[in-house]
Amino acid sequence: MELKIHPSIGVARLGNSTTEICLSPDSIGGLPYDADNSGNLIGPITNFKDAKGLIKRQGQPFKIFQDDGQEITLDTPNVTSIEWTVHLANKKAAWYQYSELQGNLLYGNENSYENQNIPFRNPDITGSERQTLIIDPGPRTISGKLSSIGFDRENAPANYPVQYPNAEVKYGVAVTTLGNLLTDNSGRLVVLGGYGNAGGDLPLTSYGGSSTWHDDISDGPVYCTVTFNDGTPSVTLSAWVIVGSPDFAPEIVNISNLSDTMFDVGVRCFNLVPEMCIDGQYNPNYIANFQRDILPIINRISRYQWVANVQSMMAFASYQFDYSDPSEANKANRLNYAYYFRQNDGQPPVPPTLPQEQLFQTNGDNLFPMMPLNSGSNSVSNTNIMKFLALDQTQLFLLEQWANGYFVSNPSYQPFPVNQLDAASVGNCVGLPMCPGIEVTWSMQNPVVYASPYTILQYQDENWYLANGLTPSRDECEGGGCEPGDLTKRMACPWQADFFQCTVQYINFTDPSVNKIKLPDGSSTPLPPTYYSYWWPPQSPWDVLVGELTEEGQLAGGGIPAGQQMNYARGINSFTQMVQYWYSLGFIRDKNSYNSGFPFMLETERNNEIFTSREVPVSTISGNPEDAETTIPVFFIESSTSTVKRKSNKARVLMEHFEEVGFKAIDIHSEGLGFPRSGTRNRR
Amino acid sequence: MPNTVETDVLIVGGGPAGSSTALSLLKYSNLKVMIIEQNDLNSIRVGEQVNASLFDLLDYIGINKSDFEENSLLPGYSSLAAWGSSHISSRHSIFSTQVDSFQLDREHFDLMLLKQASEKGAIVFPRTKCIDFKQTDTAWTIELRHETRGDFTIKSTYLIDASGRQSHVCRKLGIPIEKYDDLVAIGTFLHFKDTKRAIKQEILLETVEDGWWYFAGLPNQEMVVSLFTDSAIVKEKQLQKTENWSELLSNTVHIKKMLANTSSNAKPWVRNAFSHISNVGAKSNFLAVGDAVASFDPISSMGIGFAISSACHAAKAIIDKANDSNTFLNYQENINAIFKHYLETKTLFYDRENRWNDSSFWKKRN
Repeated sequence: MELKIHPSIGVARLGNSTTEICLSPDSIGGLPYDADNSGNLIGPITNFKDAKGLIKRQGQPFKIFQDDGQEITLDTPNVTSIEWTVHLANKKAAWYQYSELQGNLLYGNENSYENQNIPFRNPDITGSERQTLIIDPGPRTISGKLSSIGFDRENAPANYPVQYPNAEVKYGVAVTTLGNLLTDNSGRLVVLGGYGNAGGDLPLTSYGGSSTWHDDISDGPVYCTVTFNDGTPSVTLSAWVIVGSPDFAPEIVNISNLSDTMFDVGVRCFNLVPEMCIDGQYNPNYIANFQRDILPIINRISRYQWVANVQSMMAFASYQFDYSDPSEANKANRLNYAYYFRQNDGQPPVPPTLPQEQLFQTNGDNLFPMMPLNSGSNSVSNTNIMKFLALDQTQLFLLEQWANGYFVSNPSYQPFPVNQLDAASVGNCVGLPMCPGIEVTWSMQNPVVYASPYTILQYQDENWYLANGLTPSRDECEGGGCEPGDLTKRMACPWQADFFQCTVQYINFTDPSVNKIKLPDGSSTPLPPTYYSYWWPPQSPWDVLVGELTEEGQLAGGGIPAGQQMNYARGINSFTQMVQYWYSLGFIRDKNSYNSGFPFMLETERNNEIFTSREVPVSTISGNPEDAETTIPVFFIESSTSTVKRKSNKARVLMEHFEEVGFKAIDIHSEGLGFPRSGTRNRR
Repeated sequence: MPNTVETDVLIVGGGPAGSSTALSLLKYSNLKVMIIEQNDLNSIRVGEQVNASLFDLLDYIGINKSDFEENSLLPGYSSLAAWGSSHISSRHSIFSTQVDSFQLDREHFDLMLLKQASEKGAIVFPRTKCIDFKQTDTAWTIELRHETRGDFTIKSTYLIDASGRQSHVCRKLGIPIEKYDDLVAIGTFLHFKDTKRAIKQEILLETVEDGWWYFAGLPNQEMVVSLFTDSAIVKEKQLQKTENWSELLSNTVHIKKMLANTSSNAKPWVRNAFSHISNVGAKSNFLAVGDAVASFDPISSMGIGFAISSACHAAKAIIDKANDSNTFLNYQENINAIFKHYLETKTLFYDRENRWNDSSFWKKRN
């Protein structure tokens, strides 16, 4: 009987609540679960934040299954013990500066970090000293029921060469732990990541982060040894865990998510679905299934509207014809539809075939943005340009089969040979674009990091790490497998910098060879003309519907009515504020989830009390009193936290009451000072 | 004229002096009253110690103890001072003034008075600035600007400056102002991190070479600490910079002990605390009340009581003017007398500290 850990690559998420946790979803686009503090599942999540408004850390449960799907726990009669070991690490500070697609070995060896002369983060620290830049708490082992252990210094194993960053930082909060492990009532493992702490000694200046900074993101292997009391030999299993930033819109799924990426690599490079693809050759006679292969893509496209204004994508998913109809008569419709999807660039791209540099599908003087309308993996720098998003190769192949009529539409389909829990964990992460992404990046597109589909190949073992520590600059994409920390080391450091800076992008759509031009002052700017494009709205929303449905809530939110679309991060106006106030952002939640197909996604649980809002009349900028009739809402954080605590709604209510009464007196004499019919001067 | 309203009395400033003037006028006359308040009523005010005689004044303007919200008036804080020596004594034993017996939550108090004034018929315009004042024989014409509603005009028989220590209206009208010092408070609100230990809501004063420190525990694990010193010293020592201010704080004997385990991410704020008097007497149909007519060193604990008493006197002067043309001049003379007495008392207070004879702060005051 073969045993396996699922998920094979788990995903935990940061939170700053010290009192409550939740558990990762077990389906793509599913909600997390409420849990007690031992990691026992209670039920669907009620609130993403605790009573103080702090985000619950999202723990990833790991379970052991027989190949017949039966779960093995400490309650299984023939099981004596289950011992879990997890080794989390954060290698960001020891890695290279984030440089878009430079360093990606899928573009050939000449694109290696060294050959491209990409500088290290923290370049002043050299040689073997660079190992001290890694946050490496060493492994932690846990067994039995209801135990716990932390990745802090106090719980480090004796003799392990641990590395922790300075406990004193000038900006932000120093990282002292990467999280902790729990076992639940049945001895299952729950991995909890960090608290969202990040700190350093230099000001943050770029979306990639700054030297001297650390955050408490991490990843690493999960091992498990099961012993039996009936003579069955003990079994050792392994998996991997990634700690990501919070998923602020868990019910909205990326069009190409990380499960799609791993599936694509599995299909092309590991013969995961041999009837679809063998040794990289797709079978042109392969019969796709609309329900399994195409409908999810269309549904994801249609749900971006709740977090981003991409109207052409809404129009695209409006059922202009019956997408599920495989008939010859419908073929022209399907071909027309599929024709709007961009094809992939080569790696490296070879002019003049540069489909991902093309924004519009044109027909005479007609034009329509090609699908998906989203930034590609490099709309930023001028090396290895990839301006706009294309589905991955396997998604595009299945779309082509569908367009050509090689498909059935059968809801009770045979699933692909991928464990459902394995697909669910990574399916809630970003797959494309990768610049660098949210949880992990383009190294996941490289087959050399995998032992098999959805399974990370590990470099060396715990004995080797005990003797040598982790290696600071080895590139696992050259082969040989991954160490703890390798999956997340390319991400921004701290992650908040990228999250704050990269939600939308102005992308030039006229010159395939240029993203940005240098200005005389040395800074660079997107080459005009540009098109307004989004990065990862399902993970980092931009346009959201205010969901405050009570009078008090709306007052606290700056008087914005429910249903008004507002900027998601309103009030967070700098990197530094994002580092401190990331937890104040709302969670986007389907308020009509019992009736699927009729989503109603509202912004909930935003910490309004942190922000102050003002309506600024245009006249304050123009100096023309006539402009006072139009105001712009401005949100900001008051510099003193005491101010926040001492502000009262009462004062505001009173002020508005005075104004209502006072100006009624004036309106008797007035000529047109009344309020506009819409009830607002705010034109946003 | 478009957008014009008329009133009998226009009060500039919605703090305790302005609200009390309105309440007094509304209670003892049929005059129409309007109040202009520049801000959005949401600014932070430091709590203040008051004594029981305040209730007599409030009773006069028609405010009862029941109008106070729960906890906005807390009795019996200990008030201590290390003044004249490094030993702590009860404040009352040093200053031998009436015992301060209530800690007033100014945020609640100020809003409560303004709300009462509104409920009794005053019309309040928040977020409104005075742009211009003109006076003819019969009336004032005041041009105003609301943050979002735009410009409008108020015509009023009487104009009252209740704009606080800066005496904005007096300054605009060119009224002579005599300033006695440049005292400022430079301080911050602090949050006490350990939520398990309740901080005592007590007051502590401590003299230092450059002035004196004030500490007060507030509800919700908050406290306020500020240094009262001369604005020249703030400039010279760059005390608005957190590190310099904190260094002075760390040189205190008693205050710093109160601050263990606290945090603040804010730069110190600076507030004026200078003493001055405005001589309004010569201007017809114009009065100033509260801090706008005379402001006092906070060591005297006179501010809030004077705000309300001067408001009552000003309202009476307006009401009685029909029968006695000298009421405005008498009002100002009364203010002058109070201020003279205050200056004498203040000197007594500062004379009790003799340890820093070379310090510019104490030399000016001894």
